[in-house]
Amino acid sequence: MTWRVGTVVEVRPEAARSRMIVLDVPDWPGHLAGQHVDLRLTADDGYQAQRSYSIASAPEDQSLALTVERIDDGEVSLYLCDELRPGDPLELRGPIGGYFTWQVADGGPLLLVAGGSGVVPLAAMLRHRAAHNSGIDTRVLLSVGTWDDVLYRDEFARFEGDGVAVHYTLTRATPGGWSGWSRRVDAEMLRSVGPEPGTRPQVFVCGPTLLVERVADLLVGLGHEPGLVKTERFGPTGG
Amino acid sequence: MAVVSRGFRGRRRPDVDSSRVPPGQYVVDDFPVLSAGPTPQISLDDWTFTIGGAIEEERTWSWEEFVALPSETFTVDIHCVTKWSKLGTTWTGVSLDVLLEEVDTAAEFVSAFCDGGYTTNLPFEDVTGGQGWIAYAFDGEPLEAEHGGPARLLVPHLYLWKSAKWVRGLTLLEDDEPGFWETLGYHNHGDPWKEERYWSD
Amino acid sequence: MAESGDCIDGNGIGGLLGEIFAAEPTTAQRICQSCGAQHPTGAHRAYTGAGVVLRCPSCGDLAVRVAQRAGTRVVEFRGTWIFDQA
Repeated sequence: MTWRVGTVVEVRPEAARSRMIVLDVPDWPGHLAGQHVDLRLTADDGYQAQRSYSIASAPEDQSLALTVERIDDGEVSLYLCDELRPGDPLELRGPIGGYFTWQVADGGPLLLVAGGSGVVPLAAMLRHRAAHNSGIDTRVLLSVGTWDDVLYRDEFARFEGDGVAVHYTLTRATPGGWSGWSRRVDAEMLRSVGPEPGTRPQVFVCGPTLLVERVADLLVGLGHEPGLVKTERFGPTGG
Repeated sequence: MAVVSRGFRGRRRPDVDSSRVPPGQYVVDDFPVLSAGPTPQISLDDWTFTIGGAIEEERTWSWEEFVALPSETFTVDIHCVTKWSKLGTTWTGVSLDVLLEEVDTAAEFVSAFCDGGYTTNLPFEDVTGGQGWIAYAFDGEPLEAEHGGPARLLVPHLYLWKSAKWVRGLTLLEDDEPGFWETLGYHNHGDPWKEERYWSD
Repeated sequence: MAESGDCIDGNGIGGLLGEIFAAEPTTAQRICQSCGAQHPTGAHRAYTGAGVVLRCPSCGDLAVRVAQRAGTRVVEFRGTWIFDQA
């Protein structure tokens, strides 16, 4: 697996604090939903910084797209969100991570749980599912700070009704008239989202390390098989 | 050759006295957290510090006994082999000269052992003479677990992997015993001013 | 094994592992030399110190240690590894 250079096609805002970065990558070998790329930035004095970003685009999409959350004083995310422009080169390695992937052929039911930008690889899975007109029973639970931070809001609203149930819990502030959850993910919430552990759903949990660990423990406690709960820890928040 | 990212600088501080920055290092303002394993959770009731090995009698201190020892607050620069340096860090701890004061030994080396199983080795002469401490406070506050608390070894004139986090004791040795990173090819000594990062440096 | 919020999954260091292994590394299975548990590499626990460490998610014992250096990698593997051939 070697480093290759892509070219930025577009950088556009996504929700309140993120950017969708669309890349043209010559000879891109294709990817599976859930995989990520490593990005490497090099300053002109040779200093380098490297970070991993989940691929937001579906395998069926024409271009490769990443979603990057802008983190205050995060040296890589600030560059990607504030400085990067169309025509710039971006060095990347991938696709990486056959372990945390889902394809329609893997079947369901499917339970996707994410905190913050942990939704990115799960969105790729949902886009892939939609591209195949799959009706697999899919439940989604997203823990986000505020409604303005929710990524892909309209797109996820369109997924609902195709056998996808999307649930949100807003942990910092709720908009007026909000009737959804407004607390940290807990066992009662997970039980309510389902599906029943006895149906042996494939579970994908992604986001900040502490949230992922807590949710994974809760899910196993509810009866989900540990081997069916796959986690993608993003590490402590840092950019 | 990596492609240059137009406009990328990183978060390095440019305005530092370069005479304080060893070769190949860059200065940071934050305090990166690195470790070889999970952060141990240890109760102070269970914590002990032991000096053993090539001495007549092993010496052990409980936490209460340890923090009652003469301590110093001092400010040093620290340098990590992963290339970041942090200047002017203030610590409080017990000098190894105090701990080794009444120890009669022919040992030429020490091996630090820690909760979680980490080890690192140093020449005896590198941890004495005001060069080494067991530090339990950073910036006037109890040392946070992610930075090695309750207590860590601090030997700032060497790369920071020698400043073992979660230290529980030193074994005095007549023969050197390479530790966790040293057995994987990191330099046995680790002087940042000579850029002793790996075994062939 | 207790969770403590300070690691990522082995899947997260798949790029590094992919430079070492010829086969897809994150789905390779490993049988732990200490506790005998079997897990895919992607589910192991990855820590970053001076170098990179991968640990068994059941017992925490060492699975892989990598010394990071431009131009050279020193890697230690423990346990029994199972690679599916494509």
